[in-house]
Amino acid sequence: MIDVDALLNCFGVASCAVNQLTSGLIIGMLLFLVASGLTLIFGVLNVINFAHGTFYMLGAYFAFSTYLLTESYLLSALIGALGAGFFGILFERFLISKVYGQDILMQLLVCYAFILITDDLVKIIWGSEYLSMGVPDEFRLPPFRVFGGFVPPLYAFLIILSLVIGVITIFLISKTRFGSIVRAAAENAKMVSALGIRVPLYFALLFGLGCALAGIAGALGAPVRSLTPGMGFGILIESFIVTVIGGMGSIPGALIAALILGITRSIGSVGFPLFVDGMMFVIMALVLIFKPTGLFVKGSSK
Amino acid sequence: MSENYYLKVNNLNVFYDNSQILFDLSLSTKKGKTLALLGRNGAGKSTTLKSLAGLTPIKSGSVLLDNQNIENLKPYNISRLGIGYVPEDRQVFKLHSVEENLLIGAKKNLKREEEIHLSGVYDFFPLLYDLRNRNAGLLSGGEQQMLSIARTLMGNPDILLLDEPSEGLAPIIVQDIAKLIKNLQNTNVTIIIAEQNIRFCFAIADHAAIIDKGSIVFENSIDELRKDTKTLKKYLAV
Ligand SMILES: Nc1ncnc2c1ncn2[C@@H]1O[C@H](COP(=O)(O)OP(=O)(O)OP(=O)(O)O)[C@@H](O)[C@H]1O
Ligand SMILES: [Mg+2]
Repeated sequence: MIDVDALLNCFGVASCAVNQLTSGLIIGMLLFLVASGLTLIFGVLNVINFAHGTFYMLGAYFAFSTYLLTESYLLSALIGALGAGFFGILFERFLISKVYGQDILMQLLVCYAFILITDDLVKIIWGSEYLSMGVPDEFRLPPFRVFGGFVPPLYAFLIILSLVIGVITIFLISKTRFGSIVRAAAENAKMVSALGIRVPLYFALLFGLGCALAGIAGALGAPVRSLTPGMGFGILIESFIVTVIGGMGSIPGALIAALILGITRSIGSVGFPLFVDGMMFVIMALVLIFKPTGLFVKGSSK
Repeated sequence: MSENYYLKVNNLNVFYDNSQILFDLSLSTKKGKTLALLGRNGAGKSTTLKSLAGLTPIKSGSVLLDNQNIENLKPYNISRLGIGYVPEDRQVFKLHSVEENLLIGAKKNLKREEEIHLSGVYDFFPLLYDLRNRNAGLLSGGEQQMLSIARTLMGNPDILLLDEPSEGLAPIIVQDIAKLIKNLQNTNVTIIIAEQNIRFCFAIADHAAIIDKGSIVFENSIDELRKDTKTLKKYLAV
């Protein structure tokens, strides 16, 4: 099942190794952005946003249309993030906040309804064929040479920007007044409210932030992936795996876990192409067996 | 009669699920005065304060703050109108540092002249200054109580609802809290304090109200209560 020859051949040649590593990092970093939103929402609101992939999809489609109109990739990414964040806030205010604290099945049901409706709306607006944004003009540049391999500037940009966004998010949550209030409200929302803070507003903003992270991942990834209604499902499952491996609520955990999965995916496409998804579940299962709270959340290891 | 009560509570009925806890409870207090809310365990003191703070839904009855109805407002709106609440069980944010706890409580009050700031709170609670970088969850019970009071004061309330601030504290700290309350009285803050410690109330309160089984059974000046040995014995077992 594992094609050792192919693996050795690739990693014997610097260029192939660099290419696989780069593509692993891209997959990992975009996955990290999506998963960090999911884990943030869970950590504060204690709800699992099953509709998270939908905001990834919305980000991608908003970016696609913005790019058609403006031909600016950066503006497209911004609109993708803001659009997904905006719809995230609406979704939180009018739907998911109504089932906070209720049975998880209720939350699942609300999210599933939202996914189906949004997928259909996307089909109506953008059609059901695969769409491709293509490499934006800004990045039609000669690739960098790294150890004999080629790294397209767009890839380098995506990896670095995702990391920067991740760092900003961690800063926002751990060092700002917004983050302090949101963490306090996660612990004791009533007391925060009694201190004069409009907690529902903060919850909506946090939910919007989480969705914006999914949206910007969809938008940034639009040039290297194809767009299709229902594209949110795969990334949702992978984000779940990331949060299980990294630990629910931990953003640094999401980063490491997403990188592990990204690299597994890209190496797997060479070495065990038929078992790539299987391998991700195997990693998840191992973490669940040896550290059920995830690698980065304190807890007893069984 | 035009009333000059600052806070007036009329016929409050409050339920937890299906069981009624407060029965037509009425109370009133004037600006700058301190009202002691007394009563046995389970009488309904905490429930009364929580209802005033908006944390427990009010089934019927009214709460007038400066003649404005506030009984249906959310806790954050009530707080912004100048009502500060200090819960009985402290409820500090355990994973936040002492200073972060205080900053979450920080809020301006447009109605008040003297503002309390971080430095003012530290002046009054030097201990909190020394502990400012420690996680609140690691503080002792008494330290958490001080933090909880200080955090609410950071919001510059005109009315302070204190739920058993002396509970579980060493006598020396109770004296500190009494001193703090006197300071607040000097800045014209109105205080409602739920207490079991009657001697503490005799030292600081202007008026007293006794709750028994969810209704007010006594409401008068603290001096009248001091003389009324029958009431003291009947409802407070003193
Ligand atoms: N969340 C709740 N759900 C149901 N019943 C409650 C709840 N909180 C309080 N009660 C009940 O309401 C009654 C009044 O409680 P409350 O806490 O107001 O009393 P208290 O006067 O503050 O007593 P203590 O001096 O012990 O603090 C009690 O019988 C209590 O069991
Ligand atoms: Mg009580």
